[in-house]
Amino acid sequence: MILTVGNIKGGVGKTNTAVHLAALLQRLGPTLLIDGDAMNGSLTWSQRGDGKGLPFRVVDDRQQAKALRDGQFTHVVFDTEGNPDPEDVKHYATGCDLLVIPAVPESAASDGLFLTLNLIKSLGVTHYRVLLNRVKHNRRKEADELRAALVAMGVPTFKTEIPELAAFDKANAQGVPVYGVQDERATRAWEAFEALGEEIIHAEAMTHGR
Amino acid sequence: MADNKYLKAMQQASEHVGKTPAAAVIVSEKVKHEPARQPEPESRERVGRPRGKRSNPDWEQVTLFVRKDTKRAALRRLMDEDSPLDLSEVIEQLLAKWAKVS
Repeated sequence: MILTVGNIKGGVGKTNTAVHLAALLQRLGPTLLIDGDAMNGSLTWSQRGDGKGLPFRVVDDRQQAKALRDGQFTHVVFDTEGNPDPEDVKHYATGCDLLVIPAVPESAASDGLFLTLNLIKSLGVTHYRVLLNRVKHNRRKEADELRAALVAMGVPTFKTEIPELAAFDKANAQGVPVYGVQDERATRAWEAFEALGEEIIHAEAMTHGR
Repeated sequence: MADNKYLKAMQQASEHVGKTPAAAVIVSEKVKHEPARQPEPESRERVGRPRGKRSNPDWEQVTLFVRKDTKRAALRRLMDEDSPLDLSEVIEQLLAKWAKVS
């Protein structure tokens, strides 16, 4: 499966999403995470763990050809750059099995989300889903409001939401997936991604009639 | 649902995109972060100096530290190039790009 994580808006948790989706897919088969962001968030995440912290391989997009030739990867996760050109969005949206669009429920982030949605709609892309990400427990109403708007506009949206938790920051700092950190909410954080993984796999199975 | 701000914004965005190619919307969104131009003079004659960044609500004054030689070199380059930008605009451009504000 090729999963692409993208949103024109930066700072919506693309890298966190990509890293944990890759950790999930790695449980199903060898997975490659391609870091297409100039900031190299995923790559530095893996390097902080001395290349051993993450259970899958991470490469820069310039190294992907060699990695794909040398490795036998069943799954690929592509972490896209922030603030991409429309042409880039077109290529990454059409070059994957599922485009995951992380969205933070706050007004300041919504313009970028709606631009992304309009752009992929204009491209005729239908294999995408919005993921409510970095949802703050004390701002429940914002998430509900955004979800209601997405549903009303017929935008496919994951039921699962990823909460805003310090455990994710710790995971990034230590170069490991969130299940590898000492934090009382680490389990909850990982369980959110497990639920998301189930949704993705279910959607994929439905698409391919398996 | 009637006063859902996200829904309103989405409806506005999709109406807008119906009239404008998606690429143009993205470009126009990016242009927002180009340095703010001086406001166009209004048709009726205004009294006093033209409005600057200080009275422009899109701009905020911040205090930050840069090395003296960096500031001097930057000012020298702006003067040498006869640049229409000022130091604030250069910093805004670089910072906006770094912070990836879309």
